[in-house]
Amino acid sequence: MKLWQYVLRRLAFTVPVMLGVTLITFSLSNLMGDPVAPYVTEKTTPEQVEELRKLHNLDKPIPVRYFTYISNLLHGEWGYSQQINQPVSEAIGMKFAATLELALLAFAVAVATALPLGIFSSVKHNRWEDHWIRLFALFGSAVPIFWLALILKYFLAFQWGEITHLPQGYRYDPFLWDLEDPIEQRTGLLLVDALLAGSWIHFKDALMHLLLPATTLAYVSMATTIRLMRGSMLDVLGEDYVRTARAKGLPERKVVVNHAARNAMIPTVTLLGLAFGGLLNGSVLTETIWQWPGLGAWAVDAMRNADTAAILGYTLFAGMLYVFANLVVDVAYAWLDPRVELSGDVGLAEWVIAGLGVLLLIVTWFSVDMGLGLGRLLLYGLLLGALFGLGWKLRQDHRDFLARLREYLWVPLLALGTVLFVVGIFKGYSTEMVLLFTIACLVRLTLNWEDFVAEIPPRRAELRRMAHQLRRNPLALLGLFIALAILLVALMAPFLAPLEPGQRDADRMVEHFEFNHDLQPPCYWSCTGERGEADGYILGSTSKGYDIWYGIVWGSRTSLDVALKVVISGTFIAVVLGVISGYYGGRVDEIMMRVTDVFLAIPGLILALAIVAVTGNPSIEYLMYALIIVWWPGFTRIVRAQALTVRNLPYVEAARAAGASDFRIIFRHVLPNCLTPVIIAATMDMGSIVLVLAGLGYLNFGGGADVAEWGKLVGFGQAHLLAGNWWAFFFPGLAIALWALAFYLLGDGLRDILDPRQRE
Amino acid sequence: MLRVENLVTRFHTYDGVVRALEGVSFEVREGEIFGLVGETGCGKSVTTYSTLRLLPSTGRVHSGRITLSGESLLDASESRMREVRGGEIAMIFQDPLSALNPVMRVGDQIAESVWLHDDLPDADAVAVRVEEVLGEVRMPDPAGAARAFPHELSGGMQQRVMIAMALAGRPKMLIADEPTTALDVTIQSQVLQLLRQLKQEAGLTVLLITHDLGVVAELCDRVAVMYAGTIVETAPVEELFSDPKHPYTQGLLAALPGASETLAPVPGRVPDLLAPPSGCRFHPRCPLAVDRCRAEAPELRGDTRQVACHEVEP
Amino acid sequence: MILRTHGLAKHFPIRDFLGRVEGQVRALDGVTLTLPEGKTLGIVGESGCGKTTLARTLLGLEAPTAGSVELGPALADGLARDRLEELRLGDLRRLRRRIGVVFQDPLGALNPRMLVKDLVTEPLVIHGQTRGLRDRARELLELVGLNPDHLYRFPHQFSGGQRQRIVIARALALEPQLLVLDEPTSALDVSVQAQILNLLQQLQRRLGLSFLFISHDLAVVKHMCDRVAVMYLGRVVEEADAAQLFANPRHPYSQALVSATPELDPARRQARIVLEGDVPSPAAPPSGCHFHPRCPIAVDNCAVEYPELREGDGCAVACHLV
Repeated sequence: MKLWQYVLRRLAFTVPVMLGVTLITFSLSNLMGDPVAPYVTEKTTPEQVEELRKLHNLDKPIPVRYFTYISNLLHGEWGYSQQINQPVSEAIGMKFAATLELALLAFAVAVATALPLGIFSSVKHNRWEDHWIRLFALFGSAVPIFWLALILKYFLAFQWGEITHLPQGYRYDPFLWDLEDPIEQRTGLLLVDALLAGSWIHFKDALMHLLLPATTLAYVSMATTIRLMRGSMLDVLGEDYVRTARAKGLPERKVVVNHAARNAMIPTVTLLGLAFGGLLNGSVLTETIWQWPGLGAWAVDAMRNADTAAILGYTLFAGMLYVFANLVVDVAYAWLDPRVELSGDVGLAEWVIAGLGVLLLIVTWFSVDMGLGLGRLLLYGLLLGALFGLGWKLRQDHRDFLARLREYLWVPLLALGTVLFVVGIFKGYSTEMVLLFTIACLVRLTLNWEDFVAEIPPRRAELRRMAHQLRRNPLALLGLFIALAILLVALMAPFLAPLEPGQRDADRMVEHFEFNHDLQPPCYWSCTGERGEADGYILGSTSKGYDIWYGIVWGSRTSLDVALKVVISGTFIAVVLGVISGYYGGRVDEIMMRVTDVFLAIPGLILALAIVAVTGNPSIEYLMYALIIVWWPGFTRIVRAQALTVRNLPYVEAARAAGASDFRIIFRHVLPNCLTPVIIAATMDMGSIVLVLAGLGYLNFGGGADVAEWGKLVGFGQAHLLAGNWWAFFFPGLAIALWALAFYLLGDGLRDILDPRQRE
Repeated sequence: MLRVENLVTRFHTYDGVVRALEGVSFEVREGEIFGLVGETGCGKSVTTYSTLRLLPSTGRVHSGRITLSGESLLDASESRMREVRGGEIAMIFQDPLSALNPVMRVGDQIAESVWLHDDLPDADAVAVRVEEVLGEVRMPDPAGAARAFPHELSGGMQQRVMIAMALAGRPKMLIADEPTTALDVTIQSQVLQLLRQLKQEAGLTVLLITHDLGVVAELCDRVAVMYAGTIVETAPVEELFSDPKHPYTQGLLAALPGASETLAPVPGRVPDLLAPPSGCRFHPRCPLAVDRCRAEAPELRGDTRQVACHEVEP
Repeated sequence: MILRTHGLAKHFPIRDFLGRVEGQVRALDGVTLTLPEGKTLGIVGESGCGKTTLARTLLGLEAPTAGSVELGPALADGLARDRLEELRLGDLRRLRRRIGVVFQDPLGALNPRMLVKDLVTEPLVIHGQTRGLRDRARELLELVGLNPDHLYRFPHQFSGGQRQRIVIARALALEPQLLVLDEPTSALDVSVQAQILNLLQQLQRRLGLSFLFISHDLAVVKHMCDRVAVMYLGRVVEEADAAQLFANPRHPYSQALVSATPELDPARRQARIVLEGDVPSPAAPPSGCHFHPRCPIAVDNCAVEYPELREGDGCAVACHLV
C-alpha cells in the first residue's frame, strides 16, 4: 500500500489507543481517587459535600460519567485546576510552549551528538575510544536525572557561577523580558521569538537559561541513543553488503556512512520514539529543579496539592504527545526503509473498531446521551458478535469440542495461579511463596532422581562456560561486584547503621530536631563521636539533622525490596501473558497488543506519579502497585516478540507434528527459550525501577515517613545546596547511580553470555 | 594472471589461533575459469579475502606472495588496493539479497563502482554506463531495474545485478564466491550460462569458488581441491574427474550421490583449525597414511597436474 | 500404496490495507500423487513450488483448503475414516504416531535447551509413555549410528551431521510407517550428506519405511528415490519412476531440470536447457498452464487451458503437447 494509506491507517488506530488512555485517566480519578476530596475541608457541611458530589456527577452511574468526561474532553473542558485557578486546558496551552522548547532543544542536541558518537564508537570497536564512549553512555543511563541536574547546578551555576554566568534557574530574566525590553512573543518559544524580533540580547538570555536544563535532559537521551546506535552499527557492520561495498573498493569512510550508517539508522529511529517518552519523563524532574515554568513543574505542584484535574489533564496530554511522537516515528520508519511491506495482516475487524471509535467520539461530541447509547449498542453488539462467532466455531468443531476443552483447561488455572502468586507477594507472603516454589521443585526432582543426577555434568559444563565468559568481561564483573556489595549492605543494615536504643523501626526516617546538629559535613573515616554528637555523621547530615549514612544503608533495603517485588511480579505476569499472546497470535495477540499499547502510551514516571498522586496514598505498597502497572506492558512485549520467533522454529513444528498439545509446546519449548531476553531485561530493569522510585521519592512520593528512600533523601538534601552543603544530596544520589550502574553492567554482561550470537 | 604462493593466513581469536590457510599455492591463467573447490570451512573464501585484503580485524596474512600480473598485492598500499578492488579484481558473493544494500537503489549501487573505477565526466554518462552494464548481464528492462530496490527483484535478477556491479569497474578478473548456491536450479542455469558467455565473449578470467562439483565440471577449465587450509590437488577438469589422484579427491567423488549404490564417504570429520592435525592435515582420515604423513606436511608437486601427498605421484 | 492425495489445494489469503482479501497465494493448487509403500517418492521443484506446504499439510500442520488425502491400509489401520481431513482429534493423534518428520535445519530442529535423551524420546512422552524412556533413547541412538553414552548432552555439542542423526532418531521413536523428509541433507557437506543418505537407505531396508523425500538437489533425488514427482507452482507436472524420469523426461520443465543434473563424466553430460524468465510467485500464477511463459514449446492454447495430469504407461504428465 502507499505511504499515505499507511499514515491514514496509523492515524485511525491511534483513536482506540487514546480512548483507552482516557479510560485509564477516568478510572484513576473516579475509581481510585475521590474527585471531590480536594474541595472538602473541615468546614464543609454535609449539604455542601452533597452539592459538590452532584456537581461532579457522582450521583450518576459510571458509564454516564465516563461519556460526560469524554464529551467534556472533546469540547475542550479538561477540568479546572484548583491551585492556579485556571481551566486545565488554558494552563496546558500556556505552559506547553516552555516544555516544548526545552524538549525540542534537548532532543536535537541529544540526537545530533549521539548519532556520530555511536557510529564512531562502533567503528573503533573494542579500542579505548569505544570503551570511553560506552562508559559515558552507561553513566548517562544510570545516573538519576535530578542528581545530575543538582551537580550541574552546584558546580556550574553556583561554585563557578562567576565564570560561566549561567543562571541558577527559571526560563528568562524577568527584568529584561517583562520590564525593561519586552518583545512580542508570537510563538511562545523564546529562542524563536528573539530571532524573529532580531534581538541578540534576548536570544542570549533565553539560551543561557536553556543551557543547563537542556543539557541535563539531553544527557540521558543521548546516553540511550548512543548505545542504540552503536549496537545497530555493530550489527550492520557485520552484514554482507558492507563486505560488498568494501570489495568494490570504496574508501572506509564512505562504507561507514553511506552503507552502514544509513541502514543502522533505521532501527534507531524506531526507538527514538521511546527516547521521546523518556524526555517527557525527564522533563518532570528537570523542570522542578530548574524552576522551568513548563508542564512538568506544574504537574508536580498539582500532585503535591492533590489537584486531581490538573494531574489527569497532564497525564492525558502527555499520553497524546507520546502517541503522536510514536506515530511520527512509525511513519518515518516506513518511509526510510523501502523493504517495509506496508500491508501487514490487519483484519477488517481492526478497521471496524477504529472506525467505530471515531464514530463514538463524533457522536459524543454532539450529545452525551447519544454517545452513551451508541456505546451501549456497540458493547452489546460486540458481545453478541463474539458469542455468535463462538457458536459458529463450535458448530463446526462440535465433534471435538470436549477434547479441545480439556486441552485448554490449563489456561484459566494458569491465570488463577498467577493472580494468587502476585497477590501473595504483595500481601507479604513472599517468603511463603518462595518456599512453596522450592518445595514443588524438590518434589519434581525426587520423582526423577536418576535423570537429575545424570543431567548434572552437562549442565555444570554449561555453567562453567558461562562463568568463564563472564570472567572475560570486566565491566560485567564490576557490575556484579557492586550489586553484591549493595546486597550485602542491605542485609547487614542493622549492623552498619544500628537503631538507637529506644528508637522504634517506625522512626527510621524521622529527622531529629532535638539534636540540633543540622547540616553537619561528613567526617568519613575520622568520626570519633557517637551518633548525634558533633563529628558523628559519617556522611554528614541534612539540614534537619538526619543522618545520611543511615539513610543510605536503610534505603538500600527499600530499593532492594521494591525492585525485587516489582521485577518478580512483573516478570511473572509478562511471561504468562506474553507467551500466550505470542504463541497463539491472531485475535488474542491483537487484543493484548492494543492493551499494552494503551498502557505504554503514557510515559512511565508520569503514569506512576499520577497513580500515586491521585490515590492520595503515599505508602510504599501503592508505589509498588503503581510501578508494576507501569512495568508489565514493556516486559510483556519483550516476551511476546521472542515467543513469536520461537513459535516458528522447526523444533516447535516438529513437536506439533508429533501431536504435542499446546500446553506441552508452550511450557516445554516456547517458554524456556523465551527466558533469555526476559532475564536480561529484568536485570537491567532492576536498575531502572530504582531510578523511577528515586524520582518519585525526590518529589516526595517515596512512601510514608517511616520509609528510608534514596530519592527522598536527595530531596531533603538539596535544600541548602546553594549554601555550599553538597554532601546532603550527593551521597544518596551516588548510591542510586551506583545501583543503576551495577545492574546495567550486569545486564549487558548477561546478554553477552546468554546469547553469544549477539555482537562481541 | 593471479599467482598465489605459499599463502599463510591466521585468525587471532579469543579461543586461540585459527590456522586457516597453511601454504596455499595456485595460479589462475588469463582467460580461463579456475575452480577452487572444497567443503565448508576448508578456507576457500578466506583465500579470496586474503587476496583482496578484506580479512576481518582478527585475520592476518602471515606469509606468502600474491601477485596480479606480476604486481605484488600483499605489499601494495591501501589506496592501490582500493583501485584493485572492483577495478581489476571484482568479487561477487553467495546470497545476492544480503550482499546488496537494501536501502539503496540498485542503479546507485552500480553507479558507485562506475564513479570509482571509470573516468566518466558526469552523472548522465554514469547513468548510461549503468544501463549499458545491466544490458551486458542480459537484464530485462535495464532502466527499470536500475530504479528498483534489491528486494523488489527476483533472486536471479539480483545475482545479475551483482555481476553487473562487478563488471562496472571493467575488471580483468572476477572472483565468484559460491555464486549459484543460493539460487534455484533453473536460475543457476541462467547464471552459469551468463558466466560462460562473459568468458567467451569478453575474455573475462574467473576464479570460481564452490562446493558443488557439478558446477565445476560444467564450467571450469582447471580446478584446485582444497582441504583444511591446504591445496591437495590441482588439475584440468576432465582429468580430475576421470583420474583423481589424491585420496581426499577420490573420497569426495565417491561420496557424491550417484557415484554408487551405497556411497563411500570419507570417514571422520573435517578437523578443527584451532588445533589441526600435524603434518599432512588429511592423515587421520586417509587410507594411505603412513608415519611420515603425521610428521611432515607434503608439498604440492607437479606441473600440469599437481598433488600434495607423500604416497602419490602427480 | 501408503498414501495418496487427490487434488490437494492450500491457499493463503492476501489482504490489502483495509483488510479485505484481494488475492490468494496458491501454495498448493491441486496436487495428485501416490506414495508407494516401502519405497521412496521424491518431490523436486524450485522455490515457490509448494513442496514444503505439501509436507506440512500431510503432517497435519496445515488444513487443506480443498482436495483430499487418502490413507493407505498401513496408515488407516484402526482409524474410523481413511481420509485425513475427516479424522477426529483422537484418530488424528493415532495417525501422528505413524508419520515421522525430518526437517532441513538440524540446528533449528532441536530445542537447544533439551538434552538429547529428552529430545529423542519426546514423541513417546507426548503419546503418554513414561517408563523405559532412557533405554528406548539408547536404542534409538544406536539405530542411527550414534554413541548411546551421549544421551546427556546438548545439541550444540554435536556436529551438523550428528544433529541430523538425532533428528532422524526422534522421527523413528514411535516406529512410524512413513517418514516425511524435507530437504534433510541440504545444509550438510558432501561427505556428511553421503553418510546420512547411506543411513536413510539402511533404515528403509531394515524397518520397511516409506519415504517422502523432498529436495531441490537433483543428484540426491536421482540417487535415493524410486519414484519422482516434479512440482511447479503448486501442481505436479510429471510423475514417473526415477530411472525413467532422468533418462527420458517428458514435460518441458522436467527436461530443463534434468538437464541441470550435475554429471561429472563429460561424455554423458547434456547441455543445460536454459529457461527464460524467473520463477513466478504463487501469489500470481500465470493463466492456463502455469509454465507457459517460460516454456520453449508453448502454443496459444497453453495460456488458456490448464492441462490435466494424464496417466500413461507408469508415468503421469501434465502438458497439452506431450
